[in-house]
Amino acid sequence: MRRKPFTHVMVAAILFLQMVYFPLKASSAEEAMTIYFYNPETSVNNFASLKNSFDGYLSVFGNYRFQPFSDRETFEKFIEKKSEGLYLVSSWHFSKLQKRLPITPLLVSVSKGKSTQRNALTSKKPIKNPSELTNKKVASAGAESYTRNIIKKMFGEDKAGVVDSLTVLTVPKDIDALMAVGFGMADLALTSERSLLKLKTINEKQYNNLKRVALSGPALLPLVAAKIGSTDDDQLRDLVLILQQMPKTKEGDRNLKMLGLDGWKKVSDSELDLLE
Amino acid sequence: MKTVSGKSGYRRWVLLLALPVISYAVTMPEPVYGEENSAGKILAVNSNSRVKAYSQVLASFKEAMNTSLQEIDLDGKKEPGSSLTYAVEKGNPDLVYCIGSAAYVAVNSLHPEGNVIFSSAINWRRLPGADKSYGVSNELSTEMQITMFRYFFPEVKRIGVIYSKSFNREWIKSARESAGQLGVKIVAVDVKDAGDVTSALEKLLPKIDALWITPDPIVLASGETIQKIFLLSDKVKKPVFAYRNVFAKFGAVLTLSADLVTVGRQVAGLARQLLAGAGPAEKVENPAGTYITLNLKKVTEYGIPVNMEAMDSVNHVIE
Repeated sequence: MRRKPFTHVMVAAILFLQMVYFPLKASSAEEAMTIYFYNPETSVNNFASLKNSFDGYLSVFGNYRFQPFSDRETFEKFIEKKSEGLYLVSSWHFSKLQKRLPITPLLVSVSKGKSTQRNALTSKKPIKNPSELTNKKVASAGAESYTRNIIKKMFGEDKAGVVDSLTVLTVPKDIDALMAVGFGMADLALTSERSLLKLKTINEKQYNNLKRVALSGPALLPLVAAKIGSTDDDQLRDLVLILQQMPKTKEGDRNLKMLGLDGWKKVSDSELDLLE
Repeated sequence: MKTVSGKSGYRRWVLLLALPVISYAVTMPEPVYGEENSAGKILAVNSNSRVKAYSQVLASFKEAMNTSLQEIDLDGKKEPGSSLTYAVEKGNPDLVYCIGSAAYVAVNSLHPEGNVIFSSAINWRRLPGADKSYGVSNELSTEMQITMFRYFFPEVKRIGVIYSKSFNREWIKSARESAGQLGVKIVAVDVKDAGDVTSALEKLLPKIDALWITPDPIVLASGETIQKIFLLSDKVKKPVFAYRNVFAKFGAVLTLSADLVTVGRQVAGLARQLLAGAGPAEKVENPAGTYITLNLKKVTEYGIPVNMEAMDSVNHVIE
């Protein structure tokens, strides 16, 4: 009878250790190495599926996670404070971040054997002079700031006023932007040249109705980057290797395709020159 | 005595507290649109704020407009109600945005000459017309849908549709034309009654590569019929394409619907044009964004080839 209270205390203590202390200790000791992802070039709201698919794939290799962000400001504030982990960002965004944060590119993505892409501005009507773009509506899957920036680069800073007069209709994906022009919801579409060529294979009539107004210079596909000084971490290096191996498995390849990519490779010096 | 005086004191207090409320109700204030609203007076009328899709599209509209507006929720009621009547008649808004058919019908009865934009209305062609009404359709264009079917499943060449002539005669004609241009054949069977759906489907399934469920009130008259359609298609491993995400739960392989955030942005674009005094090019726009659900579980189960290049367009993957 006297032992009963003591037994109760012991059971409670064991339960506390099992349910609260050990998990807390384990989580603080082994924080998952995470890939933080934000891409201003697409507005596809597929974050839940991306997270599920990548987390499932990465968990087989160890304590790794994938964390997509839908908002640029939140993403930037977060990675400013975070020193560990990999950042999967567009090359345009990387150049902007590099001016504020000590980050270095580790891998560049590859699609159809290329690590670069061009953007195409297309219209149903031929545009002979940039001034004809005044007050037009452009459909784009990219964030508004990204869209205006790319079009400004296409026409030069002296046409900035014309670009500022454009209305940007943000749509989820490139194929939506192209069809928005075809069906009259927008006057112009800013997409990757690759997406324009995809349209040719799936709806040749729509493709033939579109005229190329301008083509951007080559830009690197999304980059995998890390904070300078963090790249010697064993877990981080393992994660970089895991990413490089992704195209070799069916599940890994499918996850890459969800990002519109075929694989990753190390960034060469000539590719670094393409960064602003 | 004590009790009586206590009661009368209590009454006096209640009256005193109620007075401001009564006076507010009697001298109802002018509808509030925001003090510094350069865009104009905008009234948003929601058919039912409990419908998630309506709230999403309104939130996107508000974000894109970035200006204050007055909101009224009809809460599922079909009649305009006193607050809407007051807001329209006394408030004299420059533009009314109606979310859902009920909101549009109610506003149209009060404000037939005003600037009205609608969205999220099922079968907008049936709405009472008004010269100044504009909108964004709830349904994606048939060509856009067939393009996407081809994008994901390039080997699908014959798509079956069960429809009723009374509701979708014109639609099927346009779908056949669009499909023909894309190298796809629409194999269509019309039914007069929901009871005919099962036998029509049994005859149709051996002739097609995939079945396309479209918004037809006769074909989709009951949950039982919908379940039967999926059961029969699943039995012979024929993929089902549908127009709402909810069908993915029944086993649809691919669902395509309008992206609600984009619809809100499109409405904002129309609103800005109307408030600036410019008439938009199209009275009713098609949705410019798509929301796609791909059921990979069923794709694997049926053994149908899917174009992996299209994976970056998928919003939701079922594994």
